[in-house]
Amino acid sequence: MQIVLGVLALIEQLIAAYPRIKAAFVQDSALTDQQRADLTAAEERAFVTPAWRTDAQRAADPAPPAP
Amino acid sequence: MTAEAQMKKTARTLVVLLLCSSLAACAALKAGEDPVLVRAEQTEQTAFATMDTFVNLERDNEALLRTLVPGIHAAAEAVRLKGPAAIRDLRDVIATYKAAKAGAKPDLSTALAVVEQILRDVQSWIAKAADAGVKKVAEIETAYEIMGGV
Repeated sequence: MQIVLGVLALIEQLIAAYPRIKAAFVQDSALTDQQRADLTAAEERAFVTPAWRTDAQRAADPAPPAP
Repeated sequence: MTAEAQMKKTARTLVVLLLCSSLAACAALKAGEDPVLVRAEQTEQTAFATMDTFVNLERDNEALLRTLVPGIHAAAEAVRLKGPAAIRDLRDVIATYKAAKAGAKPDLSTALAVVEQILRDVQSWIAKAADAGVKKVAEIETAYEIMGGV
């Protein structure tokens, strides 16, 4: 039962992420300067979150301060 | 609809949607837009959203996914290592492309190819995870039925 719930939660998370991907999918013009700045900021914010830390980074520094 | 049928339908939908994201060239462009630039920006956004989703999912469900899909953790680690640099390289070359005058535009293809390859890998692993999840639920349901629903 735990595995079933885990898989369902996993798929639910994937579906929740889809709107982000779709937004890029239907883009019909070049990004404005503000959109470019927002996208760059979002990317750089994400890259320093725990999900992006490699095993080696986690092993070397298990509990970094929040970004 | 049983849980298994629901999972299969959901997983199929999910895989189709995610694989569609690799075809980031479907929307009709506004008049006067540079298709090379717009497609490069679409690829950057799609790849970033897909990679970010993947590394978060993998981290949040690490134990489960290691059991269901051997190799997915190594794949996620590769994305964590290569993804940021690939996105930054593409972003830099897009900025250079936008700033350059017509006739002196840099070639975007190398930076795009690196990002697209990572995107394809991620999509492949997400599809494997969805498939493995459906199979695991089916196994559990079968075992449950054999036991007489006990």
